[in-house]
Amino acid sequence: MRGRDLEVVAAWRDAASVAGPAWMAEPRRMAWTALATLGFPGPGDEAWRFTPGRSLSSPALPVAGGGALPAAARWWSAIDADRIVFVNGRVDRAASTVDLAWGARSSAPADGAFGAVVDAAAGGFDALNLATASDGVWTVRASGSRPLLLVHRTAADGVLVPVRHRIVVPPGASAEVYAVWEGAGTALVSGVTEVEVGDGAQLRWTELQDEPGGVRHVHTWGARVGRDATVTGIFVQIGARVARTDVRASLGAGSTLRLHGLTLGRDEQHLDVHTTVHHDGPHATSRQHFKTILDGVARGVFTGRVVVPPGAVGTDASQSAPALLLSPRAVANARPQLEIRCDDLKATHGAAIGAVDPEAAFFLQARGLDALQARALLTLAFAREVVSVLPEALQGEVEGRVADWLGAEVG
Amino acid sequence: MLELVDLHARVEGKEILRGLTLSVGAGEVHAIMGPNGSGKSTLSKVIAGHPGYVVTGGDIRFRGQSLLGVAPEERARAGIFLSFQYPVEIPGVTTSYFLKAALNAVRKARGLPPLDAMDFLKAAKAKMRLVGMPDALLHRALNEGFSGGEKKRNEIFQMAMLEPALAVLDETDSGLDVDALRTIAEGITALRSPERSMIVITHYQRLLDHLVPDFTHLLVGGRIVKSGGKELALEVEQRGYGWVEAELSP
Repeated sequence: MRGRDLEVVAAWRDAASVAGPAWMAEPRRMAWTALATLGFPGPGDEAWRFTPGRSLSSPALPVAGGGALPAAARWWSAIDADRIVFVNGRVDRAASTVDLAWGARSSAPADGAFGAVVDAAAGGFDALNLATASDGVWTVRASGSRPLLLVHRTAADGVLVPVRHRIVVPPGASAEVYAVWEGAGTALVSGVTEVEVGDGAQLRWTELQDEPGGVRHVHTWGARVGRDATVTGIFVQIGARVARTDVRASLGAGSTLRLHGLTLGRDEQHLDVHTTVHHDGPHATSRQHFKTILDGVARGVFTGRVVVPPGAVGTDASQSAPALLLSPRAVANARPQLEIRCDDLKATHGAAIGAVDPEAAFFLQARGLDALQARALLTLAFAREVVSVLPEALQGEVEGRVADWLGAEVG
Repeated sequence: MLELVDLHARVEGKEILRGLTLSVGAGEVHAIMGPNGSGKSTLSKVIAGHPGYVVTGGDIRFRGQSLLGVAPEERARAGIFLSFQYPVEIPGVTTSYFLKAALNAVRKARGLPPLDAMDFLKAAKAKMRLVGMPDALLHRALNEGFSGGEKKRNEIFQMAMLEPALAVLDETDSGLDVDALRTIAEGITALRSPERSMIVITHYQRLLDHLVPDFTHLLVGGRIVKSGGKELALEVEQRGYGWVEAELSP
């Protein structure tokens, strides 16, 4: 690592060191060591080609203290789920309905460890998260558990807001998790979610990232998917100035992974989704469908890496990442990266990038809609394919936000 | 109602309409027949205001006002309806959602209050019966996965809802089986009124068996070369277009 990078890491260590529970001292020490070895992603890092790591890693910031939830903006309180609210990275017990946070635990949970799914040595931001996170959920979703809603609310300026979750779905169990990221201010939000899905288990994860426009947001969501398990991940991102969501999964034999994404970017937003799917076991299926809509001078990035090792026979992997550009100055980058070292498989990918279809717009105008209404309707149509797979609990809310974003009326 | 005066139009740099003149009075049904490439679809797109079709000469006047430079939605709101030869499919938007938005845009322009969901549904169900369109199609994505017949029924249903003063039907009969053709033609016939004019563009005469025109025009080489009554359509059916072209050559 070059001297300048070492200085950046040292500055972070000075600014962001935290104490936290004693059982976290050793993982933290290892994380700082990993960060000092790795550094933050630099210009030569292929996985960060379109999102400069430096836009997120500097300047070094102190870690936020907790806070209490303002009474307003509780749109999610109607969602039928167990709820945990984090304010500036710390649990707000008064606003939560269950106690699943690990920050106040006096001893390390016995059922696993941080880093088991998302290794701190895998990347600089993952290491920074482990080194600084003081709270998050640590939960085993046994059969019959209610849906779980994680609310991440940021209300701070010029600080790092780390949060780290570990969610285990035991073999044969089925779990539903909703995650919402929102708030106010200009923090750097750092999230890591580690998910272990046991053999034959099922998980649906639905995420809505609608952070305020001054926030920078980095989230790594990693899943280890057991034999014959099924995981669905839905990632909707509308907010933040710069956002990077890494979705990583390793698939056991016969398992199924479905990933859906909807990214809406405008003004100068820069929204990056990077997926990495390892088909470790044979006969696993992965389906990725990420849609991006960009206006203004926004940039959307999708990178979909699929790794199929020699023994993964019967792999079935597909990926599509269409983007709709509403402005001539918006930019979409879509990169499929298939690393295939196995002959017996089916893999497809596609990424069409274009503007609103002028023939469809003419059709709508010839029926009386004006040009803006026609464009909004066609854009809504483009988004609906993803909106339609959302769980009912979030569908109306997300559809409403998409329509607001477009300035359209939802009927 | 509609006056086309020495109309010239280009698409992709090629002149397709070359001095087309036609006058359509209130309540009249005009059939326009012509061989492939004669300019039939261009005529429909030019009347509706497609931005890719450029009028290079002449004028289009609707109720005395020139339509040149008028946006397609303004034409629609003024009472012009184009039934597309190939209606677009829009996955993700239901017919009811789209049509309610379109109808309320048109109503607003006519100084009428918007219809709410209940009133819209009631009106829609009545009009769907007119073209034998099953109610379920209203709640499916617009034309997505519809058969050719379902798409055309949907077009005429939308026309019935929007209540235009001038309807241009571009090859509404293409891709229909005999039964669908009859139902749709009967639906269109039911929409005839002394206030509503229609231009029925077709390659074949069979639609005109059910929907009897007041006038028939033959469009060849971008101009109306022959006009007559309904019997002209029969003549074309029996003799093809060759004789017209032969008659025209010196």
